[in-house]
Amino acid sequence: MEKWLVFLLAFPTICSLIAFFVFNESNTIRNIINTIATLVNFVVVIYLYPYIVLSPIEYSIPYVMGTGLHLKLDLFRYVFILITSFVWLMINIYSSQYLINYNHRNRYYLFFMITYVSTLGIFISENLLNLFTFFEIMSFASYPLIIHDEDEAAHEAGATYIAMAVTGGLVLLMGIFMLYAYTSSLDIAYISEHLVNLGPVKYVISALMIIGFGVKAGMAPLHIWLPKAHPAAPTPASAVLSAILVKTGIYGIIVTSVFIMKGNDYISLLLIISGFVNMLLGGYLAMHQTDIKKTLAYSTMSQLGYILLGIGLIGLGEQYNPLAVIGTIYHIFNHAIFKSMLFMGVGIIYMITHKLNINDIRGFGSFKPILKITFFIGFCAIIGLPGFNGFTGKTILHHALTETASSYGLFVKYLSELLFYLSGAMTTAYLLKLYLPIFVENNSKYYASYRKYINKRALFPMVFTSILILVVGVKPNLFVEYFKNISIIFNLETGIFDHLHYYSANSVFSSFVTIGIGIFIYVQYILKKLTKSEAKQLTFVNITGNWFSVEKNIYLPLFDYTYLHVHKLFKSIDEIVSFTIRILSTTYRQLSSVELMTINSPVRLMKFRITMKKPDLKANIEPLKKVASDIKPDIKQVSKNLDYFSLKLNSITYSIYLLGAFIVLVLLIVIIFNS
Amino acid sequence: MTYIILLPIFFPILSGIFIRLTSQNRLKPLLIISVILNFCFTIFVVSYFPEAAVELFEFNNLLFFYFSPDLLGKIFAVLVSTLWIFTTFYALDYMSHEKKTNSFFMFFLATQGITIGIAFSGNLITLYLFYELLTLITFPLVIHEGSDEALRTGKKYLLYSFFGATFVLFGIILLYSQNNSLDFMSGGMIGILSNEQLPYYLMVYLFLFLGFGVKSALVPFHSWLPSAMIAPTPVSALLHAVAVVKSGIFSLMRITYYVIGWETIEQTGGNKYTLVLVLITIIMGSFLAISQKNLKKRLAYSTVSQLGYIMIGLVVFTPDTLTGGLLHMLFHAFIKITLFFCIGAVMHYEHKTELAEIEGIGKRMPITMTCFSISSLCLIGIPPTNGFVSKWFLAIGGIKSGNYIIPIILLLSALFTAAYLLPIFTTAFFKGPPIRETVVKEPNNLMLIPIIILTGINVFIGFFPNLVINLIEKLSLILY
Repeated sequence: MEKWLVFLLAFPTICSLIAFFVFNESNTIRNIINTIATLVNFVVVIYLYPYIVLSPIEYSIPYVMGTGLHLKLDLFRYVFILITSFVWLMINIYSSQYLINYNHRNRYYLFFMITYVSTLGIFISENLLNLFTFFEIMSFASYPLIIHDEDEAAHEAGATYIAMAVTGGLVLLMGIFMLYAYTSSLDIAYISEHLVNLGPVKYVISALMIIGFGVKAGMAPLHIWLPKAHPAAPTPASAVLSAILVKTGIYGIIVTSVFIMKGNDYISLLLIISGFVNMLLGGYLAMHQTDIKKTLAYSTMSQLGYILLGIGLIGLGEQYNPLAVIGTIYHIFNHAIFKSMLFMGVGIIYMITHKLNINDIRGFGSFKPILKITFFIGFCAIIGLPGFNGFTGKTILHHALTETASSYGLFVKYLSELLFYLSGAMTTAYLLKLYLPIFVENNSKYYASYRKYINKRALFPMVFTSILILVVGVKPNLFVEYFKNISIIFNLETGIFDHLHYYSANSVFSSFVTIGIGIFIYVQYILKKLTKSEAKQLTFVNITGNWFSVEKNIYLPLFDYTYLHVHKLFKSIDEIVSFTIRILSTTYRQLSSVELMTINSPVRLMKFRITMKKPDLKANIEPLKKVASDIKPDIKQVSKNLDYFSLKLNSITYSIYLLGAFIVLVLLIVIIFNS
Repeated sequence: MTYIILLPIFFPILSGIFIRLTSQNRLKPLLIISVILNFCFTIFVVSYFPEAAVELFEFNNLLFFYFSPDLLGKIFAVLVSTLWIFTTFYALDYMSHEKKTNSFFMFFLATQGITIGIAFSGNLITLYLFYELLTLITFPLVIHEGSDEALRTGKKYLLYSFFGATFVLFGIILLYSQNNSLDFMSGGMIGILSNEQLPYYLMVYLFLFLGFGVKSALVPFHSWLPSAMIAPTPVSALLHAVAVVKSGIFSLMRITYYVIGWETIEQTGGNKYTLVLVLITIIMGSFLAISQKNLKKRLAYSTVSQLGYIMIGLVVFTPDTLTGGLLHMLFHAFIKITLFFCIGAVMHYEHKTELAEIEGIGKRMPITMTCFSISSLCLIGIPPTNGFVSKWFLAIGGIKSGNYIIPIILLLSALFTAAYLLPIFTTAFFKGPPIRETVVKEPNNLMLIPIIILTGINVFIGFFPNLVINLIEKLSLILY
């Protein structure tokens, strides 16, 4: 049984390597091999479920990578493994159609699969160092996916991504270093026992770790790579990036905040605040975008805010908040499903039109029923319409928030309610901005059927995912068994799960209120402020171009400034020795070029006489000057003398000079040390 | 019989002279036989002479030439002779179009003998002798090109080396005047000092450290190293990876742990000063590497910084840092030599030396550049590579000794390392024309196979570092 964990990692690796090295000539075989690898993995994951319910599976291989490889799969990790294997399977089927006209597909698939394996690895490693290892492999393996197009925009996005990823990784590593130095343990389950007794240093450690994971989780202000990387990457890559890769950061934050810090209140509060910032900032910026992939990227940031909020709510208070646990896990699951679906839809649009700007593709989807319906389902899911999966997670999170906030006084309660409604409304608004122009408006340009471009391989994953969205939405109690079991890990009371009603009148009502505000924002703000009329048609404009941006206004200037000055400093240290030598040699040269003139030199005498004469005799001076120039001056340069010397000196005596200088130096040092 | 331990020292020197006298045609087989034989000799000596010691001759108590290979020396000797094999194969291809190959390879082989001499020497004066010889013997290699710039660089190299050696000699004299012995002893030979002695030994330590620091590219005596890049690539690879800089490091280890002793140094407080220099070395080397456009220069500055990593093990006295430093000495040798080989292959076959010129090289030379990328990741210290293992020990040791600055500097430097190495392989792989329009043209097997094997070793050690860690920890247990 335990060996299956290794299988999960090893099988796709082997398959992708075979596909890369052996079948790199044939696209079909390579795609089939990769799809089968993910399919088999998915089946294995499903197969493992009953065993995991009984007890977590653990497996360790000693001596590998220094500390050994320690894998563990429990119910909490299972949800991550499940979404990863599911989304990757779907995207793999989808990619085979999407990437047909791309270069370097072999390379793409290899890194796609390495990213897959390392993501699985992150989720199932129990040893923090293993986790970090997979985390870094994932960061580097996803880089070629982002810059796949190899154009300038892609390289710029890639540079931001890799810079953030490496920096985040190193900050995380610092946290792990300190963790190990203080607790001498790396197993997640054991660290918390040691850490409790640690003083303030544990906050430093957890802050470092949360920052490190937060880069991946798109935590503001570390989110800057997200909106850049998504539009630059090919759509399948953006889909996994948005649906799964950011979840590795989320997973890390859960591990840090809940499992290692045992839901420390300060950390939890910080996460709640950061969650709200993400929700609002992401939603607000998403409303202003005209690039559809950017909208979805900011949307991801906003949805991650919900999850961060949930993580914060879990830990706040004496005991874990069961509602928050369910809400968070639900939302992690749901977001992965609907976000990957939305990206697949966007990808199809891009595949045909090669455009991503809303204004260019208006009315594209009006007469494409399958695309329209699936996209609509995704749309309903993300805004949390009752009956779709997004609703369940958000509602429970809402419950958890209300419950927690009401114990902090009325002000906190109303404020948090307000912010929650507002961000939900913004979600509705920015998705309306996508959905209405693209799928509802009429545009004669796109009447033609594009069936020949799109085949089942691209549509199947979309349809399948939408069905899943509906199923989860209609039957939210599908997971109730799972949640009952997961409560054991978190030490929750199981009672709450028996009378958990998703579709209470109250929550349905609040969901509609949110959507109503969203429609209001769309009509009153987006349609009025963010558009301009051009040729009798409303065009969306992106007014955020000159806005304050963390990257352009803080990070880059700060970076440039530091770089410049540090460079100057180090450059001067670098050249300090050669500079000293140069100074010495210049002084030497200048000294040696001093001209010495004897007092009785004829030129000197003549000059002296000429200046003594009266100015009216100017005419006579010219011939005199000529004479003066003919007379050789009796000038001696010091260098001549030195040359004469150096003729006599050879290289051996040269070293005597060196020795002499050295002895002087030594004497100085001796004097200094003896005093 | 114990005189056999001198074989790895003198065999390469003699065979080098022999090669100089034979004809060009027989160069290749002779060279290969010679390095492989010498590898066998080294292994033989290392495994069958655990406690051997040879007194070559004794002029007086000071000038006493004495060899006794201990564990540290043996590790270094094996490292040297292993890497020499790879470099020889590589150099055979690289130097195939050059002139004066016979004399080049004579000095090349002799350098190996001298380096092993450093490894096997049993007291400080023997070490010093070989250390000076090393400067002289590598000088012709550095100026091999014969151009004006090469000669100027050679002069700089000599000046710096002799400057450092003068410091060392002075330190040795100071030391000898008080102790009458220069033999290596684990734990040092000075022991506990009285208060009056402290400044004296502080001075001795600083002189020795700075003197040997010149060859280990300690800031501010590092600038000969980037200049010496004018040498042919196999030479710079060796200078950087093992022969010269690691001899400097090795000598520093000898004085820190075998001559003065770490407890004594800690008592004098001298390691605080040197720690500052070491940290500056780390951060400065990697920072300046970012702004270098020339690939070899980039790697040169990178070496400066990586040597700083190793020297942490010599200035912060915990078993962890020493283990980390020793591990990094080995790993860096393997990683850096691979990086140089790859860059050299690009230079040799594509005649490209600058970063901007190598767009799309990865598509033309995929295997070479893949090896380069993997080794770069090793150098940055991304797990699961060997570079990470050594960094782990260094950082943990740093934190345990209370120096939080060490892990911070290490990570900052890792960030810079990423900043100067990642652009090389992203430019090589992800820019330029697409794969369909490029023709794959890998280097000759003589060049390619060493690169692949070395990368394989890097990856393998990264996955299974315990093989090496156990050995090194045994050594650091002896010293602590």
